[in-house]
Amino acid sequence: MSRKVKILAIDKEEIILKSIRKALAGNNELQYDIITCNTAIESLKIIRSDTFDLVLIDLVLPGMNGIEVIRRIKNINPSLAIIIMTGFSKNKINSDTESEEDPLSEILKSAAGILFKPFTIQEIRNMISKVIHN
Amino acid sequence: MSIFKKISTKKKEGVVFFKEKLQFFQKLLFSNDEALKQMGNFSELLASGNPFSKGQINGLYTDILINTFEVTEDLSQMCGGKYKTLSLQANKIKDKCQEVLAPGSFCPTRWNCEKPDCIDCQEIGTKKIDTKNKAYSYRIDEITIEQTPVVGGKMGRLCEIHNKLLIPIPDGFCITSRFFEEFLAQGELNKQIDEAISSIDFNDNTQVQQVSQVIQALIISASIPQLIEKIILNNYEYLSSKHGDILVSVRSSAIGEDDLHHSFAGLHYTALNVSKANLIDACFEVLISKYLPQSIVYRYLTGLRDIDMPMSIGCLEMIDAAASGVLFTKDPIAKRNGIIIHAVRGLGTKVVDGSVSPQEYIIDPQTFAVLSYKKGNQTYKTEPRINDGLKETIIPDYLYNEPCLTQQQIKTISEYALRIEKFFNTPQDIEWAINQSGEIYILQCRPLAISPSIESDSHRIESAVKVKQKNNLLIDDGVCASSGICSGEVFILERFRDLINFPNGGILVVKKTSPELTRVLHKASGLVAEIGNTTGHLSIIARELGIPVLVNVNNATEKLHNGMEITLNASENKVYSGKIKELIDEYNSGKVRENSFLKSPMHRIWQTIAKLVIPLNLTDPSSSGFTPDNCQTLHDITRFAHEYAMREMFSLYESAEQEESHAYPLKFPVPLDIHVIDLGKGLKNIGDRKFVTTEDIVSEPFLALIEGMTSPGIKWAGPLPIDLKGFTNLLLSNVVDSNRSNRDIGSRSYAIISDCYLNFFSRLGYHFSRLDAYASGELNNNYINFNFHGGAAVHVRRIRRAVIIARVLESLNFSVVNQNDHVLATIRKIPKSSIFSLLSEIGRLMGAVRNVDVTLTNDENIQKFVDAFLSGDSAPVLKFTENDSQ
Repeated sequence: MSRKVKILAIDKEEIILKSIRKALAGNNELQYDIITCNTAIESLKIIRSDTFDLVLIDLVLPGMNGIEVIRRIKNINPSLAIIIMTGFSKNKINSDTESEEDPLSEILKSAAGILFKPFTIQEIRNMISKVIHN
Repeated sequence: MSIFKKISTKKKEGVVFFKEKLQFFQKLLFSNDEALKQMGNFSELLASGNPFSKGQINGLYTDILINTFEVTEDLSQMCGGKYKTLSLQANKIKDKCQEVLAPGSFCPTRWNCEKPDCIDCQEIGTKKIDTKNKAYSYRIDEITIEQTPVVGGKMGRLCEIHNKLLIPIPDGFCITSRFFEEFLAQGELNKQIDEAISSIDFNDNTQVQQVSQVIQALIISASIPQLIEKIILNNYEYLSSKHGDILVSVRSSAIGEDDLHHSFAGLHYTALNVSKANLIDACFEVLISKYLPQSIVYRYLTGLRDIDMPMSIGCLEMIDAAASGVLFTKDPIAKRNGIIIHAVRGLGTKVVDGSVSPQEYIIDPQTFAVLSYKKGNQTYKTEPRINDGLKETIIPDYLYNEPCLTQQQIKTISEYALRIEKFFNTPQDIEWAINQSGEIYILQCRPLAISPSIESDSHRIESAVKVKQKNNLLIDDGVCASSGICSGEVFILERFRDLINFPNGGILVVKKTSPELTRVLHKASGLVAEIGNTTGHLSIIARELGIPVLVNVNNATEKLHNGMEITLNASENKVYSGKIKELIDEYNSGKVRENSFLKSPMHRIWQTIAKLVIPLNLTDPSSSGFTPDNCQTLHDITRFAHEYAMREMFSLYESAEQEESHAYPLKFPVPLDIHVIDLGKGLKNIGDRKFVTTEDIVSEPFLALIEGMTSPGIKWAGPLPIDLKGFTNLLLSNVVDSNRSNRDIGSRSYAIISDCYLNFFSRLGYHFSRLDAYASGELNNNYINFNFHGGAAVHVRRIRRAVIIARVLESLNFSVVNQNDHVLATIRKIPKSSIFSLLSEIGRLMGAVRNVDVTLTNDENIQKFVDAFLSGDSAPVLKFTENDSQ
């Protein structure tokens, strides 16, 4: 692939962003251009100012919840692939996706993937690779 | 029941009521001390010239108010409900202060105005403009510059050049400040925001961040009224009826933004290429950007109040730009002659955020010939996407070295710029764009601040100060974006998040500039960037704040290391290792930099408040003008209350005397007219005698004071020619001040005593000294308060005396506040024996400083006096007089 894959990672925890950078730095298969930010408003500004291939986003963000941010990101660029990173348990997420009217369930269904915290570097790599190749 | 009535009905229990009054009196004294102390802090904060937050100064002001009202209440309680007019007067002063503090009391568009109620300001300012009667929105052809108070400076000026000069701008509309003011007023969102911002401690970087996030969440979670949505969408429909389903740029146009000294460059958010579907979200994201950390810090640094700067928003048709950029009609650092144009292919975001080096054209303003050209380093460009948002595309190689402007385009843009400059009569910072058909649009124009030309000066400084060999030249390239010389510790920024660790006085070193760095500029001495430009937003802000900035420095983040100390001479594009003190000193000595904060609305508003708080107008208690109605300031209120509280104590003593109660002149060797009032166990039984002697005194604190006052060596009767009447008033007074010698000054000192309590106070002309002490077996209850206040006018000798008193008391471990001629000294929770020895020292001090203001003619003798006194000399003045005469 000649062009770099542009990724925006949004999480309030610097440690998560660090591990994402680390996970993608050592990968030779694809060249990544990673931008990270900590707050919702900042992320929307970045989303507007450039075109990304993939967004990794936490559901809990300072200033605005992740669901609202995802809604706005989708409005700006509907085709953008989104991977949700969450500290909620798998069971909670699964039960929520069963109730049709929940806004969370809508968002989760539209997501390209979900990463449950804590995740390993290998899990991030696999997930990103899967989404990119799709 | 009022105390007054109690006294008249229970005459025989005079001393009991005296005790009650004493309690209120002591409360009053305490509140008075607090008020004066905070008035001192308040004045100091204003005088320092340092930025302060609303929370900081409002806290002091509130403290002064509370204590002043306490004082009036205590006086009223002491005096059986008398002096109610005093608290009415205090309320009037408070109301005046509230008027000054109200939003819009200062016009944010006219900084040079000296008066808050100036008619000129009102015409264009927010005061006379009743925003309630304004529309929620205007189309661009309806806007004139007079509407700046509701559409903001950015939209006001842009529409003005379109409507008056017929210069092309994108079509669009403006959502006015009324719109957002009403939005924020619902659910008192504005109050919550105000409280959150007021609570910030700006020394703590994390707090700004946290508060910013809280406010963002507040705004986002507030529901958007349907009316608001409808207005925005109706305006959009109007635009699309003319131009089809266009995309728009959503730009901040806050009231007071884009002013000559307060550009807010890049701090507020601009959303580009927004579709109808995202328009409302984008408008609120722009509104929220007013509360981003960098905006909050910028307002704090420049002394702008949030409430004076409601947001309004411009929605303009998006220009799909082939090229765009910035034009300065003059060089902002006064280094080069000519018009400066910075241009990039595509949209101009990369110019203003400083992330690319744009093409630079210097243009002759007469012929429009290109005097110089730099090709820049743009390899990719920003373009609008079809549906919404932006994208970045690589610029084909064959265009890489090609200028993106034609000579004709340069001429047209420059002509527009010069017309705008002429129209507003001030140099301009202009954003422009050329669409794919080659049509030129002006997107923004604002006054451009020109730094004073210190270029030649900085060169002179470098030559004058021979830079030492040991200070290696680390950097000798780059472009000066803001002139100046500074030194500090290097802080290399890797991620924005690390900004919270930025040290005070550090020099920030970054890969590229960004307006977000504004959030630490109040702590930074200087800034070095690998990528950036002189027309970028951060450079504009740094020039406003007078912070030296060097940009386009190759490998700065590698040449410099975290924690190393460097000296930056931005004007000469040089960085040296270590601190070159001579260079900094020479620069600072010749630097005539205006402190812009002193001119800021925040400072001027509180300076106006200070005029209603600090000055003392009631200086002469014997004058007929010494009345509550004549109190013009809170200080006057406390002064009046203090005076009348003392009179009340005196008058009570007099009535007590008439009732054969307990007030007696003290006969003792010191020629002071002291009257003793015993509250219990302070005196022996003296039978029918009308006076007391030191033999009769049992009060241990009073005895300790007397011991000091009668120390061997004190010359209460001195060699100075003083009449006998005046002599009795000598304690701490200015005896030879000709303006005062004829005044009927207070003739008595009073000692109100009990076995363990002493309240000794003297009112002598303009001066007060009060000593309040409690000495018991219970260590926690013991204290001494000593208060000396020298009067209204500033007088160097009185200040010297106050300094002596302060230094001596400090040496005796008192905690001392000394401001001008006011000394406030306190010591608490010490053993009884220590209280006694300190009271004795104070007695000795009173005698020793008796005439210092007459004889101590220079500052050098102050410390000599203090040292002599502390080593046991009770009359150091005589020594100086002798020395001087020798």
